[in-house]
Amino acid sequence: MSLLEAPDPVPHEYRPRLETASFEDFYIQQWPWLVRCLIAQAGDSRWAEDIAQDTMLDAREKWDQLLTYDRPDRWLLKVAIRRLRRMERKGRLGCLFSEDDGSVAADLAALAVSDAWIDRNLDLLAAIRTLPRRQAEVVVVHCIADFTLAETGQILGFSEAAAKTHMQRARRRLQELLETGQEDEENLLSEGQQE
Amino acid sequence: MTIEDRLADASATMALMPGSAVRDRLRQLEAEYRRRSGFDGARRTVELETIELDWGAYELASQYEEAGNLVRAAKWYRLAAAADFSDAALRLGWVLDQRASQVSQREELALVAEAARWYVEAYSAGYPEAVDLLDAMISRSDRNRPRDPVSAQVPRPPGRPPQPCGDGGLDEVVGSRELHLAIAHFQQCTPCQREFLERGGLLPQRSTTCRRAADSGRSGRGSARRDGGHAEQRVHRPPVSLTGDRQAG
Repeated sequence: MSLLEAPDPVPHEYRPRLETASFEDFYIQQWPWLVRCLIAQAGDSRWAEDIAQDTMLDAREKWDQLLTYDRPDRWLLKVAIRRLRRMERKGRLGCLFSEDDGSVAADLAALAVSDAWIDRNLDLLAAIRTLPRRQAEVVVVHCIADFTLAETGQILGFSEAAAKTHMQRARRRLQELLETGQEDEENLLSEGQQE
Repeated sequence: MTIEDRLADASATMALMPGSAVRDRLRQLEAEYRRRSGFDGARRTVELETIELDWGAYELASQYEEAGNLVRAAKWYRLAAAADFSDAALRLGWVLDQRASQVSQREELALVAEAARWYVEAYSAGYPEAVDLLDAMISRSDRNRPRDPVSAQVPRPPGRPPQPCGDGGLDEVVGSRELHLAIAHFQQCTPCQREFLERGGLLPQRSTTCRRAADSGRSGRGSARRDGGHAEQRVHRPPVSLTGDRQAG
């Protein structure tokens, strides 16, 4: 069954509707998935970590207001992704970071040393990072952060239909990228065995 | 393992992080929170408000566009596109493109140049239809440009068929080599020069995909061709409706 045919995912246990009035508990619960969602789509991991922390600081500032939200996790991701878009656009205009595949892989590989989740999903994350921005965002929000397509559209600022279109394009491209990567690995292995 | 399995696995394990790492971060955040001044707080509040402003600017631009006021639509789309909001860059390119046909030739040039910049921005964000719109706009505004590579083909003289390029042709040379090596080859190679003329003076697209393919192609040429073919497909995607992203929220 493909991702688009699958029923809307049920939110994971670790990301329920807010059930705590303590910011500390909220932070411990939300930080890992927020920072990893950003790392998966950002061009530079340091920017992703800074933005995740900045967004958490915003949450700390308006904690009383956040307590009244139905889904504060949705607010967190929306603010963080929009902030990342702005920062990366400024970065592109000022040529502040390199978006080529070599830099992306090196950046992730450096982070994988200290983060087991990134190490385990290194090729998948590298493939997601090479997708065009909107496609990477949809894959991360819908497939990794487990929001429905309608919620994904709301977080990213477009309709559910547009989210679905980006998802279809992303899926095709991811398939190509991961299959090419696998074939290259197999070729290298068989060449090594022949030698 | 399928892609769905890989993504599901990544999703299921993403919340697992050593507690000490999270608590370190929390301590840093609390220290930052205590250090912040009133000015920092105000700056943060304003910055947060402007995030909602992107959506507001986009909605307003859509309303102006529907009402036919392209000048105001462009103004508000520009604000949203500057924050890389949704498909604002694509819509801004399209609005400027439409405006260009309504103004004097001097103004047209500036509008077309700006529209082209936003179309490129939209393409890189994941809207392949931007390339078709850009192509159509350039065809309309530049009378010296060959309209269609197929119709602009130079008729081949009768007799012996021309010799092919020994290095695989223009796609291979441009897509899989460093630029200076591709130029050096092109200056020497008559078949490549002929192919260039037959394409109406258009070079194949170079992209990061090609460079990666070339890198991996050092061990096997097949993979370089496979990615080169993909880069070629991007340019010729059929136009897609612009209405996909309109219901921003």
